[in-house]
Amino acid sequence: MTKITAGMILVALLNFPGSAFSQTPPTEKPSRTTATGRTQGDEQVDRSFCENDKRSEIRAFCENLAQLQSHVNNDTVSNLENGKTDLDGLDLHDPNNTEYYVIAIRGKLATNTAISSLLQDFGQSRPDQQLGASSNASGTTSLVSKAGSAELLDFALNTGAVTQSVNGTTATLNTNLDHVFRLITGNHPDCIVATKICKPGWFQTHVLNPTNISATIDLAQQSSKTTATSGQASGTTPTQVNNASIPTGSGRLSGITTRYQVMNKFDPRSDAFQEKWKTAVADSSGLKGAAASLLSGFDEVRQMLETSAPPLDAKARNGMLDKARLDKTGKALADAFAAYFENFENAPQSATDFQKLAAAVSQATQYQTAFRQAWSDTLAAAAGTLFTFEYSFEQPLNQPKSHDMKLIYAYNFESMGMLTFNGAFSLYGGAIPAGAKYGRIHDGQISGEYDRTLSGKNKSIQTQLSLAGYWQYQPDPSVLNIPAGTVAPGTTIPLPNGTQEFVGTAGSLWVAQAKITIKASGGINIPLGVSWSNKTDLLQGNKIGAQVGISYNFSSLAGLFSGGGGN
Amino acid sequence: MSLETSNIYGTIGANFTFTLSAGTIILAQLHVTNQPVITLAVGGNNREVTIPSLPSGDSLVELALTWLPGEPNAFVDIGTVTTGTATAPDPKARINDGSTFGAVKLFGK
Repeated sequence: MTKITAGMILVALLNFPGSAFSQTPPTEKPSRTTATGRTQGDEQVDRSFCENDKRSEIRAFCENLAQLQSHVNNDTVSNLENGKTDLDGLDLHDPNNTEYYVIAIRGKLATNTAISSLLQDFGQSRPDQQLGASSNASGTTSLVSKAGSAELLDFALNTGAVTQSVNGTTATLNTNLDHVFRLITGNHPDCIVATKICKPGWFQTHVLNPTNISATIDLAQQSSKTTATSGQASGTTPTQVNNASIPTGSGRLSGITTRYQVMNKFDPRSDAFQEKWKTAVADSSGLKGAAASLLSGFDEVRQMLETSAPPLDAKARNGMLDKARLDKTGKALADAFAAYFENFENAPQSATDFQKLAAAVSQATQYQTAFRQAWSDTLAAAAGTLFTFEYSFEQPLNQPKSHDMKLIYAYNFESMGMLTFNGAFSLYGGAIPAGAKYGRIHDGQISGEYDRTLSGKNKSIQTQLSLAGYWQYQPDPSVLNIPAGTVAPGTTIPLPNGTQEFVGTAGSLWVAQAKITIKASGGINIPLGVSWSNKTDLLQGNKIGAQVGISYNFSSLAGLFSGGGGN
Repeated sequence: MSLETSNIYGTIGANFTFTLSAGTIILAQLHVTNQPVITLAVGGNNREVTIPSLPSGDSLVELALTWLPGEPNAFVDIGTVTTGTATAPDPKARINDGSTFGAVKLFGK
């Protein structure tokens, strides 16, 4: 039932009229013509002969190959002079081709280091990221779920419950499905924003990339399993015990959460969006920092290519033109370029030079990955998140399992801070026992949070203030499962299996929280919060509590899987 | 690099801007052999780079770029020439949509 509902919601999201996924492609800009008669703008160029070629160098240089072939086919290029720009695009000595060279050989050098540790730093300036456990976990420091999601792998350790009686300690692992997919498949690890030279598939763009999964583990509570007993081991008085609870581990999976982000619909060509984009670029310290690293990484590769790569001389350029003239499909041109590329690859190089080049390519790849992530974040900031849908499966200790659905909406006031609203409802999972005095509905929740960076904006250490309010309504008191083997108080009489009791009270639960989060460089976040509530899920009466946590971005682990240099 | 292979040439010491027809320039740096790297001013809707003084001989401007979905390839052209002369010969240099790293070859004579 729940799966069907979640699937239906996902389909609805993909077709949501206000979302980015239902938007039509932007209209083409008017082309303009240069003095040489060359049409500028987005030309109709046939890339079919190169975009899916098995050779990585052909795929990497596909746009340049296709431009030359197209211009030869329509006679706008006929000699070395008017073909200079297109032929420069195939010259390994040309600095503009450094990036394509890196893309072409990084797989061969086993340096497909998907996600750099530098990714850690770019999430730090974002007030919208969910750090740590979701708001319904027993040890969470978060009262309100955030719209933003994790990067490759975030780890969070939190202690101090907000809405629950159990003051647990939880560990939360967050990951993005697209990052995991690209890490495993090695498919364009840095391809996040769709462009001509970087095309994530529909499934990646619309399903994997917006989807995050997290698992929350209760560290303070042992997992256990109920098993049948095989007879009394000691004692003179026979006692009938049919089942016992045995420990199975020191941690316990308490919940799994899936979240799906829907971006606002935007037209990249509109003046309004251009203005937002300009502002987002100006405000993004992460993007500027990543740009400086990117240039340093590519400059090193460029200098090596300038020293060692053979220039595409006049003879070779004429040869390329001849191939393009003779075979209008582009295949002969692609073969000629592959031969030129392989000639450089197979040229004798010292082991030291090769290692230096491999290291430089690896470093440039990592910087580029971080830059593309910062670029994607900036684009998301300019577009804004329309809303985030979150589904959680929770199995709190000694309470019925539940399915929680939540809608998250955030509005960013830029320098004035950000407001986040949550609306959620929770349903009990599994079969409702016969004779139960409660229904399928567990509770409904509404909450809001205001976040503002207090100090250190654009610096490595920042502090963020969060003020949150939470209201939860339960039609019935909370249900507590009585574990197998529990005896009635003051007796040795075991309670029957499957016993459930009401605890706490029905009605409203209010919580207010103030929190300071210290965001350090390297992806480390330390939230420190205090909260007041009129009751908790299981207990009556006010509760004043403190919460503390730490989270860490483990993006640098990518290198372990990809065989890259790591960090 | 040389005058023939450059994307822009001009008189030594020329103060001018060059423009990209598409894309967003996040950072621009001027590289001259055996000289410290100079960060260049970016303006004009993040598509215009100012060269305060064109170095003698070969130099290179490296660009960190981002693109919005649907943008076309960018072409390099001269913006405003304040002092001296600067020319972007045809065919204009092209930087493909989606490139994160771009380079513009300069030559001062």
